Amino acid sequence: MTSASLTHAERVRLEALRYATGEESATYVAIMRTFTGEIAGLLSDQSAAEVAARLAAQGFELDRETIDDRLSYLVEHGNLARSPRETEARSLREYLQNRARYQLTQRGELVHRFVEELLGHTESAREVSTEMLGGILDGLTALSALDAAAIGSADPETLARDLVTVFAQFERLVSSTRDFYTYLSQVLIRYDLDRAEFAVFKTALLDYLQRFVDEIARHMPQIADVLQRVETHVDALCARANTGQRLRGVDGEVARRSAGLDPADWRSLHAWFIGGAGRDSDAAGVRRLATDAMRALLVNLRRIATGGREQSRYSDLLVLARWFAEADDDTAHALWAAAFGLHPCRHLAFVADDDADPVPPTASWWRTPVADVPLALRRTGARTVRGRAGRREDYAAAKAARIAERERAEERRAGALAEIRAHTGRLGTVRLSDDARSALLGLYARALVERGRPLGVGEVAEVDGGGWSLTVSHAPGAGTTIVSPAGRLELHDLALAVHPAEYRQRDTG
Amino acid sequence: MSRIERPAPAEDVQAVAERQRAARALLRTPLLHADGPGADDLRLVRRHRMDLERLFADGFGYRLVVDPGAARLFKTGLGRDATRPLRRRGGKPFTPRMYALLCLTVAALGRGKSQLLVDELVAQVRSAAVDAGLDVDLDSITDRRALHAALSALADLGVLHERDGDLEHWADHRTASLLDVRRDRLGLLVSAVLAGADGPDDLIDRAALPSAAGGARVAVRRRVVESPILSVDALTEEQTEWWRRGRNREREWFADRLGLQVELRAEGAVAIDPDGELTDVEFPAGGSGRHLALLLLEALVARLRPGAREAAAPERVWRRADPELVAAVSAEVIAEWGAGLKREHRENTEHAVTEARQVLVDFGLVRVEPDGGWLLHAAAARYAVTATLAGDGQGDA
Repeated sequence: MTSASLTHAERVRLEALRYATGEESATYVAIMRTFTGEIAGLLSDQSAAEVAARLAAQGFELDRETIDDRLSYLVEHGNLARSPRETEARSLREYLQNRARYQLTQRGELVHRFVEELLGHTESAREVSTEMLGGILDGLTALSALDAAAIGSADPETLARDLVTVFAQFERLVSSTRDFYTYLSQVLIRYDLDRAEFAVFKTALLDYLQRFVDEIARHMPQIADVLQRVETHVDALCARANTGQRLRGVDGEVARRSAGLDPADWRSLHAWFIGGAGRDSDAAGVRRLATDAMRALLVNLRRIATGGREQSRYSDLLVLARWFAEADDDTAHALWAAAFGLHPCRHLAFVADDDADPVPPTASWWRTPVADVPLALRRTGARTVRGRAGRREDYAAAKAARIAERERAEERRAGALAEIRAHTGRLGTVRLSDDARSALLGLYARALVERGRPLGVGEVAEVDGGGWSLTVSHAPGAGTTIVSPAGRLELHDLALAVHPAEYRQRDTG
Repeated sequence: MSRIERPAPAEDVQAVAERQRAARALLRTPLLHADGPGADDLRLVRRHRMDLERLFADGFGYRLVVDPGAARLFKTGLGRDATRPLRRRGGKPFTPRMYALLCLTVAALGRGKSQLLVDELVAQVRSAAVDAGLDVDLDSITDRRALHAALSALADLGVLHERDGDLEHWADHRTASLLDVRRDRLGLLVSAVLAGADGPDDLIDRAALPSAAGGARVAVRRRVVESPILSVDALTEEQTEWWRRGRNREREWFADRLGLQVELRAEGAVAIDPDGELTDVEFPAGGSGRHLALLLLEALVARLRPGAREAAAPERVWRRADPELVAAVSAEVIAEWGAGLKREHRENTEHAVTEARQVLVDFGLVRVEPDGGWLLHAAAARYAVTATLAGDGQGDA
């Protein structure tokens, strides 16, 4: 996508996906199935009555009104189209009931195929079609054997079929590889596998990865060789394959060709097996990924071997989530405390005043001394507004608070600077309070910023700290370590030093 | 004693103080981690790890796990106690839906990466919801807000850390944010053994059972340390007997190790923290609702005290105030002190009384009966209020 937003036409095209996600998606999907269920789906059309009958057979009891609504929604979004009609209808009812027949559009078919795929898709491993490597190699070898004369006399149909076959196999290889790696990346980070599960998993996966890497390693050099030979006459091959009859759309445009019949298609093949300027081939990338995957598996193995701590098991937490979802408020709160045990303790305040006269533990609370609690309530008058706009807010108090806050901050900063100043000379390893540490880092940053260019070896940046100065110099091998309660900070190859004012002859005019 | 007793070696005063501070920190924050305000406390916990492990194991039957980046005191359940909800940042308790999404999130994080974007996490929570058979719709604002509450809670617990972005506005504006997952702390969240429980009630009951080894001692001590009031009517016969014999010793034990002052009375005991900080909610304390709670409590105690003094000992633990009495006393208190309450409370006194009542229920001082009457625990009689009402110079026009 080059433009920042989808064009209107593209947005409208995507509307074709809506039927599968709405409230009534079950019935919509069922309706679409009646159109795509048979091989004849694209060619035959159905009336609303026929759709209703088929749905009823599947157990969807819908009245005709609803069916009409659903079908017209699908027509609106481009999934279905009304078949061309011969006679004129005299009313809407007649139009819909007697003679409207619906057929699947190309877009509708495409979308529904994806919908079905999504619904049937399970998160399982899919083997990479490495057998395709052999097929691609054979196909390319056959093509590379053709010289210019052979190409000129070849049957365009047969040639086109050979080219398309190579690309179909390539497509399958690429998409299955992609699938396999997304699956792999999901399972590698699983934290909830126990030792036994992981052992099984590991052996199967490691063996498979090893085979896969070997397979690629075996075919790669050959395929790269043959491909380079074929590429010299790709243009001629494509031109010859395209001399046959071509389908043209209504607007006279040539319909889209299968992959492989356009010289531009061959770039992707080249990129995958050979690579391009400044980049490795994808096949090499795949091998690298496989190696990474093995390493990640081993890391996980180590974690399982060393981690004696029982993990909160995934399935237990799901059961707990279900219990929470079905509980009433009080049960949920009690369950939270019981399952997680993260509650703080709770205690009353105010000690009773019985120090002078200890009370025996058998005395009743109703008869013993009490804890005195002073309670100062403030009268908060109701502020009535009488027919005027809002009162002028009085910011005096807020302002005073801000000023006081500023003063406090200034005081803290002054204290921090004084603390740094106490460390006159080179700061090797220095202990500072947190305030002083952040003040020092502030000065250090200012020194570098005011300098405005990187510090070369032996160069010095300086900043004024008010009556003293801090210098930062780049000195390989030197280092400064600042230790404060918040942690330890190490600056490598940088020397920081504090110089009192007399170090630089200042005019105190 | 025929043996010659050697004086014990003097304890290092500072070590005792540090241990006490560390133990209190764990009781207040059972999951202490290094990235929060608990970092200093965590250092102390690590320093005194051995002593603390022994203290909690022998004293309460609690397991303490100390890791480099976190310490976790595995508290057990409190039984059927609904007064300790997880609270959102605004103070409102979690809803069942939020708890459910919290569990789904923890489950999803356990299978995920150690760093992820919030949208990736949403995708994982969706699939966890499908696995759990829960109908969760993370496109609806209700469930998005519930998930957001869960994520905020996990961030506060130190399990999630917002590396970059804007998690705060994610629910309403779908802002992006990058989250670090502290996987080592994920395993420290759940304290109960979930496997084998056949329902929420079963889990709640089992989690509250002390092991047979500790018996009465562990059960009673847990109640003293976790809950505001230990009431004698809630103890079994065995526990009552152990408490009667050991309570003076226990008072010393709590004072030495945790700095809690245990006040012993016929009807039970309360453990008071003189510093007032070893608690999630403070009472008595400031705030309109809690002011009213204290005033109501005192007014009701004044009415019930004469009858309670004459009653037989078992009848003294809980004293009933009929709904009419509660209504009359509430009206009196509001008439006298209402001017000192916040405006919402003045305008809606019913709501004010409900809020005050909840405070008292949360502290175990009051139980509400089905007919609307209140049962007051004897411990309610320990407060005497000296209230004053001062104008603030902004009186009614």
